[in-house]
Parts: sequence; C-alpha cells; structure tokens
Amino acid sequence: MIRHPYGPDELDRTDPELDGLAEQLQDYASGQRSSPPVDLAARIHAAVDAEPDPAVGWWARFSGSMASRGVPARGLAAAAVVTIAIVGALAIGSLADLARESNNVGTSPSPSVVVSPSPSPSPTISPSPSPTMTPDPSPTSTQSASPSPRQTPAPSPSDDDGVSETPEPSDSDNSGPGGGGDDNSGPGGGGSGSGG
Amino acid sequence: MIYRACLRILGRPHDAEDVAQEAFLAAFRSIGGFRSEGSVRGWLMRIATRQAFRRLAQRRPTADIDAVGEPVLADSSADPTRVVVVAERRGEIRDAVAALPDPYRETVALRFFGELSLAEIAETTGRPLNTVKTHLRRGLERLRPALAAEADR
Repeated sequence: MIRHPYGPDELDRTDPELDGLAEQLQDYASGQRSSPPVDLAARIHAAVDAEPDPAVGWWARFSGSMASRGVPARGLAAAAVVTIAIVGALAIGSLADLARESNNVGTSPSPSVVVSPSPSPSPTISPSPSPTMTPDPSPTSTQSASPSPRQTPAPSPSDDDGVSETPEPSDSDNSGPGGGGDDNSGPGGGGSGSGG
Repeated sequence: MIYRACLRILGRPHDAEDVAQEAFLAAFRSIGGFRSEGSVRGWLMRIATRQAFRRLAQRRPTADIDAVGEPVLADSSADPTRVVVVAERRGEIRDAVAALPDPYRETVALRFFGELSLAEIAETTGRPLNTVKTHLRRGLERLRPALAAEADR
C-alpha cells in the first residue's frame, strides 16, 4: 500500500495525461515492494557501531542545546550577528581613537593650546562698560582691550592709529555726550552767553 | 522504506542493500547537519535517493537480470513473456526518471519512490510548497515524451 497516494489536485492543474504518468510511476512503486533481507538492519547497526562518533561542531552543539530549551536557531543566529556587529563597531572605534592619539603625539605641539585662553578674557572685560550709561568708559574700553596678551607682544599699526585718534579722557573734554560749554553738539550741552 | 526507495531507483536488490547501508552511514556522519524542523524520515530519504542516483550513474550498462524482480519470478504461473515485458517497462521508468535534471529528478523520486507527500518534500528540501508542485509538474512533463513513447510500443 502506498503511503501517500497520488491525487489529481497535487499539480494545481487539470492534465489527464500528467495524471496518467503519475499513476504509472505509482504503479511502478507499488510493484517494487519487496521487503529488505532480515539481516540488513543488523548489518546497518553493526556498520554504525563501527563508525567513530561524528564530529559535531560547537555551533551545532550550542544550537542543539538551545533548541531543546525552546530557543529557535534562527533567533540565535540573529543575536550572534548583532553581537558581532556591535563588537566590530566598538573595535573599529577604539582603533580609530588609538590612531588619532598616535598622530597627536608624533607631531609638534599644536598652537591651539596656547592661543585658546587668550581670547577668553578680552570679550568678557571689554563689552561690560556700555558707552550709553557713562561717557567715560568709552575710551577706557579701548585701552583696556589694547593690553590684552595677544596685542602686547606684536603691536600692529592699527593699534597706533587707535591710540593717536582717541584722545585721552580729561575734564576739559566736552566732546562727550554729557559735555557742556560752547559746543552745542552734545545732547547735554547748554548755551552760556548767547541768551540775553 | 529506505531500502524500497533505493530498490525502485536501482532495480537490483544487492545494490539497494548497499546503498541503504551507505545512506544510514552518511546520515550518521552528518548528523550535525540535520535541521530540527524537518523530519528524520525525509532527511534520510533524501540522502538515500542521492546515493542511489550516484550509484546508478557509476554503474556500467549490463544485462539487468536482477531487475526482473523477485515477486514476479516467485509467481511460477506467470507468463515468461509478460515477466520480461514488465521488467523492461520498469527499467524504462527507472531510466527516464534518472535522466531528469535536478531538481525535477529529486522531486519525482522523493514523491513516487520515497512515498513522501509534497508537504514533506517541501519541509525536507527547504523549498516552498508551490515550488515543489511546480517541480513535480515539470518533471512529469519532461517524463511525458519518454514514457508515452515507450507505452505506445
């Protein structure tokens, strides 16, 4: 008796000729049903016993033990791929850091270490006195900015121009916004001799 | 079942015994490659059919006296002419299936000689069920000229 008899619906297509061929093959198979010799099983057992234990790889052993606990092998493989990717990325990152450090040690000291603290005090000090509140700090602000460590070692021509153009603050100076006297250009100035 | 499948492919009982034994040994050696989602029966059957076709390809063309078949010879009342005709017909079917290219040969052999269902073949080979159906249909279509011509004679 055939274990799974052929059915015409197996091909998903009606073709009597193909069905006839399939039945021919099935008849051939059912005609060849002689049982094996009685000693065949014993011979196979003896041959298998004579074989050394099959070499099972570590992955097959590991996945087999996990499969017995209900963990599918595909999940294990996906977890292994993700782990390998993370470890590889970390290794590449650490190698890049090492290469960057070795490049820094081999070259001369970078000037960025010396230059970086110099601009930090100048902007914090100079803008603090606003010229609108008091008239005096406007020239002092330029003077306080001039002795910054960047400008003292190598005075540029622009510094000289600034010093020559900006007058020193004095009591007789009326050019400022709060000045009085004959100059009426200032907002706080008042006439002294024209009225009357 | 393994022995019968080998006998259907090879046609000679002694060769079928040898190949069945070799198939079990090969399965024992490669037990690590067995996928747990497939059936052991299908896995063994696939190994056995491959070994049998390999043995068939190595075999020299000789007079196939063994292939007449024990059940036919055991029947003393059988017509000798009919016995010879049946034996020839069996040989033609074997040769036609063996001449198929893979994967059609494997599918036809597992389906009819190994008596596996289409679902079992799909599970064993790791192919989709529709692909297995297509392989079976194309295998039968390729068998049609050879077997139909032989049947007409």
